[in-house]
Amino acid sequence: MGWINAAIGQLFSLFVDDVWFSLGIIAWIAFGTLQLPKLPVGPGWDAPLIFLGCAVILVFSTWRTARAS
Amino acid sequence: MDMISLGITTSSATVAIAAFLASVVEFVEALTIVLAVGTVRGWRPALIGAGAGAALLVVLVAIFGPLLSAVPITWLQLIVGILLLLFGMRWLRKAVLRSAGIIALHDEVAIYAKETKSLQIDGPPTGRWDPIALITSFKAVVLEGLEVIFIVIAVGSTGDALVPAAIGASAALLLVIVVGIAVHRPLARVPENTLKLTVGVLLSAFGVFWIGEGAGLPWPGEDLAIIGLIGGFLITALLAIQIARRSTVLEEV
Repeated sequence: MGWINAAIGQLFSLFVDDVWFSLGIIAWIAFGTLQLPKLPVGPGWDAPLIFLGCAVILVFSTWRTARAS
Repeated sequence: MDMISLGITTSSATVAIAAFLASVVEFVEALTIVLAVGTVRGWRPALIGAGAGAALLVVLVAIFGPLLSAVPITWLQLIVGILLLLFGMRWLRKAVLRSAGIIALHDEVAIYAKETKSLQIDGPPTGRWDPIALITSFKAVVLEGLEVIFIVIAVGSTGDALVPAAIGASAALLLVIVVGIAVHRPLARVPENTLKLTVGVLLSAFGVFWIGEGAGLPWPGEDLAIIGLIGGFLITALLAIQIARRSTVLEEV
């Protein structure tokens, strides 16, 4: 049982290290795929904007961790 | 060569490279543990445990692999894209923090020493089978191998590039086994953080690309957008390293 828990924990840790970082990405993806197409942005800009949001999340998260260290 | 063929060729090559580099990182980590087990408790249980782990992974792929074809392609792209992005950006974040000196670098020699010490504390092997050695070796191969399987399936399945992904991972396995047998000690010289940063960039780029495709959001340049995304994530990671370094220096001042 302990081994199964370890495997599940390992599987979870493949995708989540810093919970806020992962939640930020998921929230942005949800907004980007569901709401961005409804906003008055050019049709070719929706997908690149999803990338830009992810880039901002990465820079912000590493900056925040660096300041807290 | 037209733009579509160029995009597909570029995408397959990038998939193979991503799978190869990511697999090298994981196989090196598994090798460190198997080496520690073999050195301290004997090669027979270490290799049987590793072999059993590899066999379990093959069974898992055989069971779950075909299920993927039952998932509609847009859902597959979206789900795999999100998982790839989470996985890739997690590696990217860690690599950025390590490059900036915020967290310690991964040290295979230290891990090997720690594992060796722990295996010695457990006492000498008793009887024909050494369960401690078998389980330690088995666990290392299964846990690290799961990551390899995820990467191969994730980068390969959505773009119809499972073959290049599997070739990349197999080449990594072969390379690590050959070098491991040759040097017979942990592969400490592998630039683990640079590999993680590179793989993080590649997987994040694939992740965002598949999310866009799955959600029906068009990419400028279609498949060739992956190249732009790789460049974009690389620039972002390098920028994040500089910003993180500067903010720690400022805090110290």
